[in-house]
Amino acid sequence: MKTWMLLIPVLLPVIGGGGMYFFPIKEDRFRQCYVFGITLLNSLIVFWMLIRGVDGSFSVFHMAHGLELKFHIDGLSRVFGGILAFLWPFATLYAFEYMRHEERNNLFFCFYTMTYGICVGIAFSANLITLYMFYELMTLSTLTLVIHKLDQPSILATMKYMVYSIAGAAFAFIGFMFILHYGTTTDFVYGGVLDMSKVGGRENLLLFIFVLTVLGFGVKAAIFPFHGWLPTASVAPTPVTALLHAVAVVKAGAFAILRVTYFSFGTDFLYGTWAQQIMMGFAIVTILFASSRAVKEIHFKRRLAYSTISNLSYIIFSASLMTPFGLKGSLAHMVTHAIMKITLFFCAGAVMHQTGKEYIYELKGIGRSMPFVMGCFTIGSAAVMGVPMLCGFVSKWAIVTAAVRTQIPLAFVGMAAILFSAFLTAVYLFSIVVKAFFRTENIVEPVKKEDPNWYMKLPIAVLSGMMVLIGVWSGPLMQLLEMIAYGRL
Amino acid sequence: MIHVAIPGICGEGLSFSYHRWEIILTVVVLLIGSIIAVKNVKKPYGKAAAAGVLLASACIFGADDLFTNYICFELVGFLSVFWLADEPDSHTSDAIKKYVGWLVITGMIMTMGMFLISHYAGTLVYSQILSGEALSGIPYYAVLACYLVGYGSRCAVVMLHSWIDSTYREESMKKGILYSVLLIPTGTWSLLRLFSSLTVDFSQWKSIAEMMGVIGGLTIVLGIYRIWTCREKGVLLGDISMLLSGGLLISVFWKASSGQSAVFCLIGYIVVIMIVYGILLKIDWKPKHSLDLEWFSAEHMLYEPLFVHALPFLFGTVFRLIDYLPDAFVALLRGTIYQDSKQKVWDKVGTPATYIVGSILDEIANLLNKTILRKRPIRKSFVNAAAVARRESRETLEIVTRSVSFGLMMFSVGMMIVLIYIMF
Amino acid sequence: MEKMIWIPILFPVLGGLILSRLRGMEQNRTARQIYIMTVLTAELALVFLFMQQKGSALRVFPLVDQIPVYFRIDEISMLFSGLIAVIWWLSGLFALEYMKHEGHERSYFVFYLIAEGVLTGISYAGNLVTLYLCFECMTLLTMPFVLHARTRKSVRAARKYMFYSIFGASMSLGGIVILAIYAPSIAFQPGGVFTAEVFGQHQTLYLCAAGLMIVGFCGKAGLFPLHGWLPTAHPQAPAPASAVMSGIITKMGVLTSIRVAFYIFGADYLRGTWVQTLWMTLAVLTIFMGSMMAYKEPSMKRRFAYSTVSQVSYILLGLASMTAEGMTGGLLHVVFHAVSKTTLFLMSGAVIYYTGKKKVRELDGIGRQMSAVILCYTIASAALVGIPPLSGFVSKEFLAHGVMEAGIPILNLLAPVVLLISAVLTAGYLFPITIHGYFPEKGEESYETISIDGKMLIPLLILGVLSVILGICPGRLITFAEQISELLL
Repeated sequence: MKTWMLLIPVLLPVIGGGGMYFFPIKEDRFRQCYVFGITLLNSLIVFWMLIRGVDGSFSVFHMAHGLELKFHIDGLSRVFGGILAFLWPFATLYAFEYMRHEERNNLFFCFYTMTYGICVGIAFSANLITLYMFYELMTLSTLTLVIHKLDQPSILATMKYMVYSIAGAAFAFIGFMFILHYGTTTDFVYGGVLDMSKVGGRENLLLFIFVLTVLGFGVKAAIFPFHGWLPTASVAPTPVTALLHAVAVVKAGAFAILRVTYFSFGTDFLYGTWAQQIMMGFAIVTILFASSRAVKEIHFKRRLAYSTISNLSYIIFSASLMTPFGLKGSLAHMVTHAIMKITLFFCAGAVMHQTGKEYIYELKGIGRSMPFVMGCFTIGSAAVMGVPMLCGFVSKWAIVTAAVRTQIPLAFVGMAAILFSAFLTAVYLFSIVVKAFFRTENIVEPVKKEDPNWYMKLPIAVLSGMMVLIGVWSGPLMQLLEMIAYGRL
Repeated sequence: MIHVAIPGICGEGLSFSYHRWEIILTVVVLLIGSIIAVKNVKKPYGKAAAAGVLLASACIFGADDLFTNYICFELVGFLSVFWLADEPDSHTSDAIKKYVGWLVITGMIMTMGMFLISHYAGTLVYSQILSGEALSGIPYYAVLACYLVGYGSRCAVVMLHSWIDSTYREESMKKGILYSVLLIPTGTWSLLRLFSSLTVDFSQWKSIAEMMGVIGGLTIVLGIYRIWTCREKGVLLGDISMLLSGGLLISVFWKASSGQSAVFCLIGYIVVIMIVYGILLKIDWKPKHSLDLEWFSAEHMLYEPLFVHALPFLFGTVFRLIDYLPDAFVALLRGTIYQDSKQKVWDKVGTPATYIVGSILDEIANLLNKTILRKRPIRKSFVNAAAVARRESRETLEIVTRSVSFGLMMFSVGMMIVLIYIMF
Repeated sequence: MEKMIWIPILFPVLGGLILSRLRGMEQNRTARQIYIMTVLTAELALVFLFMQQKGSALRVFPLVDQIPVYFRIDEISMLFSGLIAVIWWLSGLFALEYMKHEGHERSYFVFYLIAEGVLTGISYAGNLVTLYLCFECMTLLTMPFVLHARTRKSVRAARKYMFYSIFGASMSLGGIVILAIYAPSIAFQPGGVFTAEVFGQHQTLYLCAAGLMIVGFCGKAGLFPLHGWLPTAHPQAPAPASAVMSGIITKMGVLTSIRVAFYIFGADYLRGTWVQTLWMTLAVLTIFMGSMMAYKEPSMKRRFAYSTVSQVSYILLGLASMTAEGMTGGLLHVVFHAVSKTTLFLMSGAVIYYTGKKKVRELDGIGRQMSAVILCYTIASAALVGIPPLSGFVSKEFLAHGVMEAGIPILNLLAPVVLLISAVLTAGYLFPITIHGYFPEKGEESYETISIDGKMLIPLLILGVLSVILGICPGRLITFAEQISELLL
């Protein structure tokens, strides 16, 4: 496998999607086939590359030492890339049905597809500058998607999103500068790249910069207090919220934090320092804060948005443990949460699309008219809650056991926070389920079934099945992640 | 001597031994008891209960250990409830409640005594209780007290006698005689058996006999007083029984160095009570005096104020608080931190902040309008004004932030270019 | 035969699922009733058949981290699974007639059958993770019982039930995770999995885990402070469901705490520690509190629910004393209380079904109307109070002795006193129903006899007779319980 082939999955969607901008496709049917074709093809290519593996890395252009666009595939790339490749086709299929009655679909799908390529670029990036560049590109390409409806709330949301993202990226950039100066290379190497001789007596400075970097990337990963953009952005069409704000964008933030922690600064340098405690602290606060806000929230999608924020901080908490087990837990939760949260958003979107209901109190008895959707929502809720035999339990177990292993006092606080958050999750998700299925009036006449058509049902069904499958048969996945976490892959 | 053992019943198993005198006593009680029961009890379940009581009484007389005694004692007590139900009237419900209440409470106190003996002495067999030294000091007196209450209430001793009033109240005394003949002997016998097994030498026995003498004497005094002031014929039988019971206690304890004297005393008691019963059936009796000492009993002095009023109130309140505590915590959280947000409403007319500020200003304006500015009132709505002001300032802020962020982006790009330049 | 342990677990689950799908079952009441009784009887036979297979074990798939889903039949399994099958059969028979009054019959029986399977799964669970899995499933699957009436109150009660249960389960999960990492094994072994050296290494950690798990799991058994759901949820469910909830599901909390305290930690390491003192203190507090609250409660079913709170803590007190007699008493009381409490709730069901009366003060003369039912009620009440020669006395005797043997300074004597005070209070809140029932205060009204359907009367009679028999000849049961205590202590 030639290394230049690494560019294919990055460029194919960008060019294919960009082509739609210059040559707009008017016909719906044709556009759907075209977009789905590109997406599916790209996914297949990505999977093939992940399985075959690519030795070495590929530089696009080389400006100076440390300033080059470089791609490779390592363990983390496999995980993130796999998530993207698996979920994007489903999301596209779902989006076709959802956007059926919307306008400017051409533009929408153009950027939707381009974002795919850019995200793959993030996954395959081999050094900080590539990561940073594609990170910024992702912000730009998702702006159009958030602003799609072009109404007052959407514009506001987009503004907020942009401000937060750019500010965050600025802080991250500072981190990049320091790695450039104090590291042997800006490449991602397992265990970190810091040159101890250069660091000398300036540990505290570097730790401070590390915290800034984490917070900078953490804006995208919705760390408190920089989480504000995510609930506001839930005004975007559901395919956008589902894919981007539950999977791609926020996971990219978490991914970047993992890269910076384990592959740039390195855990040997960071373990046991005050920077670790601060990172853990932020994660714990976010977990509790977001779960609590979710309980209070009465808008359906915003509630799920807060749930996302909380779960992302599970990943960041696990990352802050700075042990291979911690990394394994983060990766596990990245995978499982992506699947679970996208399913939940799909169900919420289906409800909104079929019935127009946005608020929780409107959902009474909807289990009768949309049994399929709410059935899968129940499975998804149980999974997020951490019921055994579903995937959420597996990743939560991995995180909590990793925390207990470290024996750091704050990690035990984190464990308590996660367990309490699981309890709150039951409160804010299961009350929806109860409301949906057990309405208080006894209505005997048959209710019109309003389940959506197969475009939406298929992704939801397949993903629910995945949740059960991973929950019951997690062995192979966890072994793979363990190998990646120890740097053997 | 006859010895019967039925293992496994109720866990520990029952065992009895009958010596000559116990056989005599049992036969007498059974005989007289069955005659009365057949004649006086009407309903079939009452008769069955009477048979049960007789059988259980027989078992008490021969009991080898405290466990057997306890089981049969309680059986006697609870089966005798059925006689109260034999010919129900409007007072039956109250009478049964009171009687069952007595049974349960004194029964539980007695149970505590049994637990204490079992724990400290390790055995419940009469002949073995004092073989170890563990049962001495405070546990010893605690056991004495518990059993005094338990058995003593059955014998209607002073302070523990007030159940007589509701149980014996029927004019015909048909059921009352049953209680006198069957319950009081079993109580006295049980007391005797227990106390004789709790004493090792004569001096200890003497002090117990003295204590029983005092109690018996007080019972006699109270009994006489109650006869004097009795208002109902039925209760009269009860009072006389009480009197005789006191006498029985004294004589049994002063003479009971052997089982023979005790049996004679008990048989004598039964004979006397039957004679009294026969007399009472024939005569016509009118109440003479009406001074009454109803308050002088453990029930009214101790039980009622403490256990019916004070303690339930105290504990009820305390536990209601404790019970509600976790829920109160959750309710507190739900009412404050976890309250459902009311965001939807505010989108239209500003935020809570503007609403509050606007309302305050409105109130002030109202006040001013009513006083100083009566001629030139302020007519502006401050809530609205606050919302509008907020909206305008937000738009301004947006423009500012947009420019700032644009500037930031430019700045970052500029920095990158500068750095690249510096590198070379 | 050994590998088929899953049969008693899955058979009722399948039975319930089939019931939910079969078309004929919705309309045809007779067919449904026959089907249900067949399933229940078959399960009863299966359970007793499998009791012969003591010692067989089944490892299913690994659920997480190489920890398998593991079932095993041992003495505790035999005791609890037998109890479940018997009570489920009796209450099921009662419900066949009772549910005509409540409606939504099919969904009730679907969850009823599935729950039986899950509870048998809990009895057979061989390690902590399997136990947790079945425990969580039980919470979710018994919630529909509380929701059944579909009124506002029921929904609130069901939410309370779920939240308290999940909170307790989350606490326990924390303990399970700690043990999974630090304990030698999380598979159950009589006497515990620890040795002195291992326990000494992380003693504080282990004790904290033990405390968390005991308080968390005993919340299901109504131990303070997690008891608040019981008086709210049990009365909301239909009477036969309240019967199994109070009678059996609370015992699942007892079972899990037995497994934790005696099969994982071992009495030797918990005796004399703050965990034991805490457990005993909470149990004593709950006993007193439950009785006191029941004493003042005007609603019949809520009174019985508070009685459950109190009585189940008798069992916990016996277990916490960690003496042979205490444990024997506790195990005996598991059986005796289940029998008596089921009788009480079935009686309340019969009263509500035929007269619609729910408050205690309305029950004047009920003894004249339904004398057989009230007779059984009286026997069960007397058994609960502890009057010889009925069953409750035997267990109470063992309990009192065990507690006094335990030798903990104040509780030594305070606990038996509280037990007896509670017995007095129990008489105070149970006997008035009988007394006013047979001897109504307004003695003039005539009370006509109501004839009770056989399906409701037979279970009551069987239970009444059981209370008497178990009291007079408890020999075999005592031997069995003593066997278990010796094994574990």
